[in-house]
Amino acid sequence: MLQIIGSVILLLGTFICMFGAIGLLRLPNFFARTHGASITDTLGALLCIVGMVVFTFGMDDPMKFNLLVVVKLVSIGVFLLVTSPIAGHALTRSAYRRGLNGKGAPNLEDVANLPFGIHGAADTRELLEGGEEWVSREARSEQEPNNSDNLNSGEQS
Amino acid sequence: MTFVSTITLVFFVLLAVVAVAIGKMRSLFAAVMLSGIFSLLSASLFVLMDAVDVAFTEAAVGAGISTVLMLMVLHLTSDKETHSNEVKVFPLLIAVLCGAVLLYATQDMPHFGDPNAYIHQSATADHYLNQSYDDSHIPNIVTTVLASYRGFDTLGETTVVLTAAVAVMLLLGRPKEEEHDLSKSPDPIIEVGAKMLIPYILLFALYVQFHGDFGPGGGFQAGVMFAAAYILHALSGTVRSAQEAASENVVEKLIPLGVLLYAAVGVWCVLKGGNFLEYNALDPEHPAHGQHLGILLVELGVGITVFSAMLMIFYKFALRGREVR
Repeated sequence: MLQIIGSVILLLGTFICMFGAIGLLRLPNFFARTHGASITDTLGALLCIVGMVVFTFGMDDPMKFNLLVVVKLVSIGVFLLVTSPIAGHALTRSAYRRGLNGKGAPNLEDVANLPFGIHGAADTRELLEGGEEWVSREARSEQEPNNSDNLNSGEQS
Repeated sequence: MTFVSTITLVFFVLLAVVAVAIGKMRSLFAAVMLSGIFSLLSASLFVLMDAVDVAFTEAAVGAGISTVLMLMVLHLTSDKETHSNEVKVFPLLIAVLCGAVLLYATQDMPHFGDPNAYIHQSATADHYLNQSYDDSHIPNIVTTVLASYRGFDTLGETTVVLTAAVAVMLLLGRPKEEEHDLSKSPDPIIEVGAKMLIPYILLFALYVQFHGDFGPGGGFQAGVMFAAAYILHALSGTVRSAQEAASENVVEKLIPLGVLLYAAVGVWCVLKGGNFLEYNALDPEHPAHGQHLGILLVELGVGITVFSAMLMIFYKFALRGREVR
């Protein structure tokens, strides 16, 4: 029974990975595409690991080796939980700081000034800007006249 | 075709695809990233072939440290390949010739897993497999071959690492003081994440170093992982903060210290009445204990040299740049 539940979770994880891959290819701009990549990294991979843990518990285990496998899987899961979101954050942050604007890129100055507000948006802006003096998107695009949607054409900071 | 060999084939196809993509890439930044992917794929291949220790090294050096070094070089130069339409005949000829020779040579290579391959028939391989446990009571044959049977080779390899570090230090030299303009405000999210990971990386490196007798690992792998932890610290914060943890002066002196330790073990064997690097002489009553002690010290020497050489090369590149994040 546990093995069936584990297989179902594992299958769900692979589906999420597939959706992430489709999103990575189809979404309209860089920042939206990182969303697809992060889904694969976090929810997809973690569901796969949870599925494997449940599957392992359902296996016959005369020698009690399963616990070791589970501990290894859980530690992999914890490392993924720490590293994947940070990797996604680092990717988005460096793209934003390099002045990757393009169509649909977030304008965090607007987000902070919205009347209904998003909690912590101002802090987010500070994180992204690294605490440096805030330069508006328009002023920045005047300084660095490359607004292409392509990461490769971002100018070196 | 078995399941594992199917996966192996898929990995090889992916490797070829990535290699072609690197060749076609105009943006050097993307090419560096792809070469990191190439290394990760080869690391996965090594795991499939049960060479976990090689996979460690490939993942840490190929995907980690060398990618970082290449990015730093791009930071110093330009990340665009200069484009020219003219076809250079002579280099093309050499490339085609080399490729043809390599393709011709692969015909003589034994098939994957071929029991009749020369390496499985030679007498030394038999000797290593059958005798190594009796000689040294160390279950990991790779370690005994690397540090004991072929101790001279490994001493040479460690000296090569030392030479590489010395060459980089000579070429890049000491940076001017005003070039220390490092990132003023590192990202707190990345910094905290790295701080959560670094202790575990260091702990795992120590495990790989001192458990090399029993499991996959040894000095090369552990040294590289140790260096990777410090480089992660430098990348997540500032190079300055990493230098406070491992100052350039200390690292500089550690590079020859490792080789010295290795060679000193050899001399110690001579003083005890054996040959150079003949660990049996270290403990005449229990030759296996002598082997244990000798291999442990020698691997430690390798680890120290590899760690400090990697970190030193990183420092040298990092401090040339205007700003490092």
